[in-house]
Amino acid sequence: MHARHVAGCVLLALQVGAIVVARFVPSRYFCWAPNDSSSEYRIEAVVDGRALDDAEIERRYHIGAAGVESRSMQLVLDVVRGYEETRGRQAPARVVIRYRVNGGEPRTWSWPAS
Amino acid sequence: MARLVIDGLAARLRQGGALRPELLAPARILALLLLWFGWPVSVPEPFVPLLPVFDMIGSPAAVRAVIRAAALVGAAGLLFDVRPRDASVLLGAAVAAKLLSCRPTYYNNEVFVAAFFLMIGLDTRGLRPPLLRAQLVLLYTGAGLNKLLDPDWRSGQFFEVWTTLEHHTAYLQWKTHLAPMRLSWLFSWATILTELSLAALFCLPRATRPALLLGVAFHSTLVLFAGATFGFFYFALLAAYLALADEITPRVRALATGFIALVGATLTHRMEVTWATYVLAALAPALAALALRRRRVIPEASESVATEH
Repeated sequence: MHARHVAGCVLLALQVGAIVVARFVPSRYFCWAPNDSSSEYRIEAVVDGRALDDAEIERRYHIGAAGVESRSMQLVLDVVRGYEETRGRQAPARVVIRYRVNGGEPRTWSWPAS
Repeated sequence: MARLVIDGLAARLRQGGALRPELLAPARILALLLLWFGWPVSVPEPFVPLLPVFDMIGSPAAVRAVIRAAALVGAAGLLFDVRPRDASVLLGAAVAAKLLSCRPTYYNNEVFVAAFFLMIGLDTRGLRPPLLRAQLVLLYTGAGLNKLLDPDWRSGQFFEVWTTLEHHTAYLQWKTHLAPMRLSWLFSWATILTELSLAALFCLPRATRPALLLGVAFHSTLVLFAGATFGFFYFALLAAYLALADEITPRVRALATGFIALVGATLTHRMEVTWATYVLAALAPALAALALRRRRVIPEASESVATEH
């Protein structure tokens, strides 16, 4: 079998794995679940006792401070947690994200996890 | 003498990296659309990457520059027919690298763009590329399965909420004529069953024609309903379908390629649909049916005489 073909098959196999994994975790990377949810959310962040405004939140996390997320809501949570675990350590924030997935029950996510 | 050197160099550049015209045309048009909408320029610096290695291999600016350069070189290779197979892999790898390096800008439509270029470049079988076909099967299987297993999709709740948040006035008007949630339930199950049907149809090479027709109708309807091409999704899928349509003539292929380019040209620079996009999306299923119609084979006179005797 040609090496290129093997590489293509490996990429396909990885996607099969991602589809299987998606059944057990809330994240939806590389599993072909495009725009399958509508999540309203709002991010509130406090650094050194001062609440950040929407523009500062967007600069910090590179996503909007509030809005409707058509990708998985887990992506927003992963971005905030990923930033706070790495670059955010220099100026740590206390973050609260309030969200509703598909108009369901309101949920809250906090960082640091309480 | 100089001409001989140049021709020899050009031949060496193309050697081993050629793509059949059936695959080169759709790959070129999608690469052109990426450039048209400024994709390589808009590549961001690595930020909260899906693969932590992107934070370790160099400065964010340098990583972004490499990804941009790879994308531009890959696109140029496809457009100017310089080792297009390798160029397709390079462009697909660049798109994938952007997705893996910057989590906030992870978009499913770009995942398919990356997969399209990678499968086109990695497939060695030429006509009826099995890797690209398998990719479409996975796409529709994953999409259909995710919806089938989601209670909000099975009940129609997602459609109910999505159309409200998107202020879809026509839909909100239509649903008043039915029982609560009934229209959303119908739309949900129509989507689930269509996606799973496409997965099944693309599994069978003999069912390529109905799969392509159903796919064009489905995605064109989505454009009309949602008022969006979902980034590059609509174009990438049309390009993938074109790559699998091996029964059409070169002339029809050229027209189909032009159609995809025309759809792109009707969008604003922010990829918002205009009235012209709606018109083309409405025409797309009929044009696809016309392009994919079976050609009637007329037997030659000598054959029919031989048959009679």
